[in-house]
Amino acid sequence: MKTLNFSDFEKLLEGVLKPGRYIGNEFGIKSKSIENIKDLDSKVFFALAFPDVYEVGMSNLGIQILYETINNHDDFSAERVFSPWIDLEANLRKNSTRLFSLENKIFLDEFDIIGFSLQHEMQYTNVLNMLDLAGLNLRFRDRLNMRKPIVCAGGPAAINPLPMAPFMDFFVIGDGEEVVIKILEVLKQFKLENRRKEWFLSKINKFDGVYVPSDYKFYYYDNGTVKKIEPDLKVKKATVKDLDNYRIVTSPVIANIKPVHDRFVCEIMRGCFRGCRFCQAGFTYRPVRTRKAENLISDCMEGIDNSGFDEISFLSLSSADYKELGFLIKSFLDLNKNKKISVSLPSLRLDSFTLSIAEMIQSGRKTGLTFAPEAGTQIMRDIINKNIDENEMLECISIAFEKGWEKVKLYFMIGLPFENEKDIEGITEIVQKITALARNVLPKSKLGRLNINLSINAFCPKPFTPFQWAPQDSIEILEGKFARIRNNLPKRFVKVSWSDPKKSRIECVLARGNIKVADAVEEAFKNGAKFDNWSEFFNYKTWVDAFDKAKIDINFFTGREAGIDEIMPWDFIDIPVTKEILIKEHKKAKSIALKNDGRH
Amino acid sequence: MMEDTKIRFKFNKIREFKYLSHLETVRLIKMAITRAKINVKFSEGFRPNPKINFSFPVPVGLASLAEYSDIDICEKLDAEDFKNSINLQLKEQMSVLEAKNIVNKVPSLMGDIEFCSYSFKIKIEKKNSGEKINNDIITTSEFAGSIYSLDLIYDEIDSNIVNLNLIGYTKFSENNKIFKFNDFLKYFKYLSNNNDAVVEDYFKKEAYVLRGGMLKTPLEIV
Ligand code: SF4
Repeated sequence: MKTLNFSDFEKLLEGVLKPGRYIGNEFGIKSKSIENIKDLDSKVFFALAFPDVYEVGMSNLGIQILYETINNHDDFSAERVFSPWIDLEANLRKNSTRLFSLENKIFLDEFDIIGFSLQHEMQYTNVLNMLDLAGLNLRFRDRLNMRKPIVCAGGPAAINPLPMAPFMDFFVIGDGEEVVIKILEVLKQFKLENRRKEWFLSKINKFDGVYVPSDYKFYYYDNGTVKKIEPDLKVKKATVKDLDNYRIVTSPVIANIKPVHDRFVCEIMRGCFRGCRFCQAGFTYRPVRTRKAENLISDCMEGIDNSGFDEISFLSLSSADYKELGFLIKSFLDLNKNKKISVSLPSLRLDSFTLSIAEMIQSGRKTGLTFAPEAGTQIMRDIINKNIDENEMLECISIAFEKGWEKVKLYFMIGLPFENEKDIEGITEIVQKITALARNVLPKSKLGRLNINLSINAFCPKPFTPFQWAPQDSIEILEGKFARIRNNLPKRFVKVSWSDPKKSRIECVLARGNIKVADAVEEAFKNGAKFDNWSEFFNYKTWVDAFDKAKIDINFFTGREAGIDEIMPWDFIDIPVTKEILIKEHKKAKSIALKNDGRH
Repeated sequence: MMEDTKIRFKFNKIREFKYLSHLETVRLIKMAITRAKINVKFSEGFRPNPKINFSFPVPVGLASLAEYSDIDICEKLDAEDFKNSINLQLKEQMSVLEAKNIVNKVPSLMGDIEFCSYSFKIKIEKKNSGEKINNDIITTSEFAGSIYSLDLIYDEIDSNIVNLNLIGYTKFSENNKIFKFNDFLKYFKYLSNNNDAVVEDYFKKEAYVLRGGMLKTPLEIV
C-alpha cells in the first residue's frame, strides 16, 4: 500500500493555515497500524470519507460510530479522510500528490473501499472533489476495470441517492452500523477469492439498505416525469432494530483541533414520531428507537472518563419525547456533581414540563432557550402538523423570563405550502408578543439584556415527506417575504438571520433531483463549485450555468407542483413509510388549508 | 485542610504535533489532564477555568523539546506520578518529559523565561561555509541584537554537517531585541543557500530564566 512519507507530508503543509487538520494520530484512534500487518491482503481497508473540513467532520456522530464499529473488527481497518481546505488542495494539485488518509497517510485510491458520509446536499461537489483529488474517475462506469477502490456513500443526504448515483458503486440507505459489517465480510471474500466487482455487488444488493445504481433503469415521459423504474423492486432502508444492542461510542477519537461541537455525544433515541409534514428526518428515521437510560448513564460516565470533555450532548431528533429524560439528566448531573460538566439538549421542545429540565442543565449560566414554532399562525402550524400552541409557548417564555432567562432563539420557515400573508405577519406578531412579555416580566435593569434570535429558513420540499410534491417559492417571492418580516420586526432586542434563498433553491433541486441532475452536479464541480454550504464559497451562478450546460431546468424540480399519482424518481426506495401514508398526510394538510379561509 | 500541589512540567512537541497551534496544544493538554483524573484547581468566578499556565507560544511548525507549564492541583501529588499518569493520556510526540513539584513560590513562566535556545542542522558543501554563516548572522544581520549567543559545532562523524546552537532573547530590553524565529528562519535559509549550504533540521531546544547572572532552565529553579 502506498503511503505519503513524512517529508513529503511536511512539504505539503507549507503555507497551510491550519496544518493540525491533517496530522492524525489523535488520542483514541483505532485503525490498524499497517507496519504490524503481515499480510495486507487478509485485511480490508476502509476510507471513511467526510466531504467537509476536519472540524465539521469530527463533530459528526455517524463518522465516530462507523469508525468504532469497523475498527472493532479484526479483519477491517477504517481510516478517516476529510475535505482538504483550499490551501492544502492547492498544494496537493501543485505537487500532483493524491489525497491521503489521516491515520497511516495511505493514498485514497489504495483503499479497498471508500465510503462517503453525506450529511446534506450541499456537500455533493466536495465528494467529487475528493474523488478527483484521489486521482479517480468520477463515474462508476469509468472505474469498471479497477478492482479497487469500490466507492460508496450513505448518510442522511443519500436518502434520495439519485443526484449522486452515477458516481457510486453502491449506496447504503438508512442505518449503517449493522449492514456495513455484512458488506465488509463480502468484500473480504471478494478480495481473498479474487472475485469480480459484479460478483461483489450482486451479493450485497440482497442486503437491506444497499442500492446498486447499475441495477436500476429509469424511463421518462417527454415532459420529464418518470414513466417507469426497472426492475420493480424496492430497496428497503436498513434499520437497526434495537439500539440497545449498539452501545454509544464511549471512546471517541479526540480531535486534535477544536471541532465545531467540542463535546461528548450520547445518542438517546433515533427517530421521531411527531410527524411534522415538512420534516424529512421525521419520516425517514422511523421507527422510533430508544436506548435504556440505565445503560446510558454508565456508558456516559465511561465516555466522559475516556474522553476528557467538559460538555455532554444528549442527542435525538426530539429529546422531550424520550420518556426517561428527566431521570437520565438528573442521574447524570448527580453523578457528576463535583465535575465541571455542562449538559446540552439540542432538540429539547420546551413546555412547562421540560422547562424544569432546562433549568436543571442551565442552573449556572442560562445560555438561552430555543423554540421552533416554524410557522406564524396556528392554521399554518396545523397544516405542517407542528404541534406547538402559541399561548403555551408564550406562557413558557414568560416563566422562563421570570426564572432569569434573557435569551430566546426562534426558528421559522417561510415559503410553506398553502402559506398566505397572515402567516408571514404572524411571525413578526409572535416576536412582538415576546418583546411585550419581556417588558412586562423583566425588571428594567435586565430588559437591556433581552436577546431574541430569529432564524428564518426557506422551506425546501423534501422527498419522503407529505410535502414532497409541493413547489418551492421562487427566489423573488422568498426575498419579498423575508423583507416584509424584517421591516416589521421590532428593531430593539431582535436579531434575525436567514438562509440564502438561492442556496435553498439549489438545495431543493439536489434533494428532489433525478439521476440526470448528476450531470449538473458534475458540471458544477468542474466549474469550481465546492464547499457549497459555506456562504463564502457558494456561487449561485456556477450552479445555474452548470444546469444550463447539462440542459436541465431547475424549475422543473423546484417550482413545479408534482402530481400525486406521478412516479417520483425515488419511489424505488422503501423508507418504509408508504406512499399511501404520505398521500394521506398530504390530503389532510390540504383539507386544513381549504377549511380555513379557503387557502389553496 | 486539603493539601495543594503545584507542579511544573516540561513537554515536547515533535513530528506531526509541531503543527498544532498554541491554543490547540493547550486544549489537548487540558483534556489529557482531565482524563488522567488529575484534580486541577479552578479559578473562581463566573466561568471557572482550570489553573494551568503555559510558557510563551512556540511558532506553528517549529518542533520543540522544551515547552513548559505550571499546574495547580487540589491534592497532594508527586510530580513523578503526575508525569506517569498524564503520559498515559498523551502521544509520545507530545508528552511530558520531566515534572517537578514546586516547593517555593516561583514567578510565572511567561514572565520569567528570558531566553530560548534553538538548534539548526545544516549541510555544507565548502569547508568555511559554517563560519561564514555564523559570522554574517552576528555581524551584519538585523537579528544580531536579538541573539544572546551563537555556537558552531561540527559533527564528529560527518564533517559536512554543522550544528548551530542559538540562544535568543524572548524579552525586550534596552540592550536587546526580541528574537523572532520565523523571520530569522527565512533569513537563515536564504543565507545558507547563498553559501552553498542547506538547512536540514531545526528545533527549539530549551528555555531559560536568569538567576544570578546565570542561565537556568525553568525546572532547575523549582
Ligand atoms: S421537526 Fe422535529 S419534532 Fe417535527 S418531525 Fe422533525 S424531528 Fe420530529
